[in-house]
Formats: sequence, C-alpha cells, structure tokens
Amino acid sequence: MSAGMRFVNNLHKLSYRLALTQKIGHQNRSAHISPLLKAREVIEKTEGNVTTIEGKIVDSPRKGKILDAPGPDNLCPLCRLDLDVKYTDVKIISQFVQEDGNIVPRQISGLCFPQHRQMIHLIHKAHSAGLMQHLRPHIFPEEYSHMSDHAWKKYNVYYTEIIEE
Amino acid sequence: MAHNRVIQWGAMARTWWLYDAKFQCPYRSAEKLCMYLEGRHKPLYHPLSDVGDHVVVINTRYVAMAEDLWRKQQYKHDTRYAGGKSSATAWRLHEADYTKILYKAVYSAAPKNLLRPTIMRRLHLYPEEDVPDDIIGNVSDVIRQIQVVPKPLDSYSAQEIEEFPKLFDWPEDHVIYKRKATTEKKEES
Repeated sequence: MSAGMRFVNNLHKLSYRLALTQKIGHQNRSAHISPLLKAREVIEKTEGNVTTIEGKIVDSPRKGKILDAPGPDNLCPLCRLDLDVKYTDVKIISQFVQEDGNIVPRQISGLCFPQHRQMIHLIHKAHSAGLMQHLRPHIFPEEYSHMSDHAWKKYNVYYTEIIEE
Repeated sequence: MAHNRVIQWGAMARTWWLYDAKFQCPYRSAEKLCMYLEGRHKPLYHPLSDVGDHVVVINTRYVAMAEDLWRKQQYKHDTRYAGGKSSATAWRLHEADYTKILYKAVYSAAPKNLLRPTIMRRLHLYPEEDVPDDIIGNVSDVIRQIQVVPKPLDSYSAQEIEEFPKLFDWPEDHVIYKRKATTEKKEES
C-alpha cells in the first residue's frame, strides 16, 4: 500500500483531531483557570441569580477494578478473553453503554471493529428486551422513563440465543 | 388387595400442574402444556381415552415473543358473512385479553379431534399471580419453564455492579455525566 493511500485511510482520524482542535480554538480562551479537558465531574450550583459551574477532578469509578486479560496487547479486551457474550449478560454490556443509552466510541473502549459491531447488536437486543431500563435518553418525566408505553414495545421480548434444551 | 386399589386411584386421578409463563414463548410452551393436558406423560395413555391432567398457568400477561413477533404475527378471524374477515396483530390481541394468545397457541397445538374441547376445559389461564383458592388448592406439582428468565440490570445492587471486573478504564479527559434528579414533589393542597 502506498503512502498516499495510507493517508486517505487515516483521514477520518485526522478530521476527528481537526474538529477537536477547532472546537477548542473557537472558544478563544487564552487563559484557563482549571486545566483544559481534565475535568472528571461537572458540578453545577445555583444560588439566587448566580450559577457556578465547577469542573472537579475525581478518581475514575473503575479504578482498581480493571481486569488483567491474558494475551497479546494488540488484541482488544473482548478478543483476548474470548468470551461468548450474550445479550442477557447485562453486567458486561452495560460497561460499553453511556448514560444516554448510546455505545461508548471505539477510541475510548478500545474494541476492534468486529467486536464493536457485535456489541451494537447486543445493546440493541438488551434494550428491546427491557433489561437496561435506566440507560436511556432523559426525555420523559420520571414516571414514564421506567418503561415505554408505546404499543408493542411494553411487552416482553426474547431472542433465540437463550433458549434451553 | 387394598394396596392395588389405592395404586389404581393414584394412576387414574387427575393431578393439577402449575406453570409460570413469565418470559416464556407461548408457542413452544403450548407444546409442552399439551403433553400434560392430553396425558401423554402417563404410561396408560391412549389417544381415544380421556386421561389428561389439569394445568394452571399464571403470569400469562408477561409472555415473551421472539424478536418482533408482537408486531408481525397476525391473528385472523372470519365470521363467514360478507365482509366478515378481520385480522389483528399479536400485541392488539394481547391488549384486549392477556390470556388469549396462550389459549390460541394451546388450541392449535392440541389434537384436532372431538377431545379438544374437553382438553381446553382443563386449562386454567390467569394473567397475574392471584389465582382463586379453590383452584390453587388442587395444585400438587410444577411444570419446569422452558426458557431462562433474564435478569435486568436494575435487579443487581449498585455494589454488585461496581465490584464486577471492568474491561476498560475511562481516559484522563473523560467527563462523567450525572443525570439531574427530576423528582419534583407535588405539593398537596
């Protein structure tokens, strides 16, 4: 493969980098009170007419709980473990789901593309089977956010992976 | 010979079975229920003799359909009058009556002969767990479920989820998003 082709293949990464830098540059902030892009938790307080937004650096909630998977480093964690993940294994799947129900991007989760694609299907199945009720966009009031009332979506669904016998 | 007489009573008696339909496929569980309703699990079974058992089914409201069958499965009806044909999807039929889908599944799985009405009369369907005392009092055994009931994420405690080994860590510049609490307590005047 020529060097030019390699550049074209990496274009999407390049554009992602460019978009990041443009976004930061657009703010036109020369001095920062808190370190840029280091915030772990955003705390918002309102006292009368004044609102203060604070970016607080905290430890990751997953500190000390990362699994040491055996195998070569160039493989992704799911490939190294060689697991048969099903949509009912919500403790594994929910690690790859954000608060709003979307999948964590591949740059963060470090999954290879086949595993990432498989995870998209698993998350969709777990959502439609009603196994991850609280990981969803926060649109509705709380009494409706527990379960969808829409027509057939409120009834139970299964997929043929979990059939016994 | 008193002992033989008691054995015969036990063999010929109709036993009552309980089946929990929560997260079970109605069509595949109907095949299993028919075995008990016809009496095919008994050594004295004969297709012309009426030796079936009673089956009490609870939680028929929470049956599970495969993939998108709630939307795609059609139930058709014809009154044999002009313009009398009608059809409804599974979720519409289920909305009208929570026991209808399992009834129709067992009805089509039962043998197509004159014993079918008597077999269907021995099937007792209940949408929830509350069954009348004169029926639940007869039950002596349980039919095993055909599918594993999946555990949702909410059923685990917060500590149990935290201690589960994680596969990747958040990067250094990750911002933890915390959902705002929207509990606005209504002031009762």
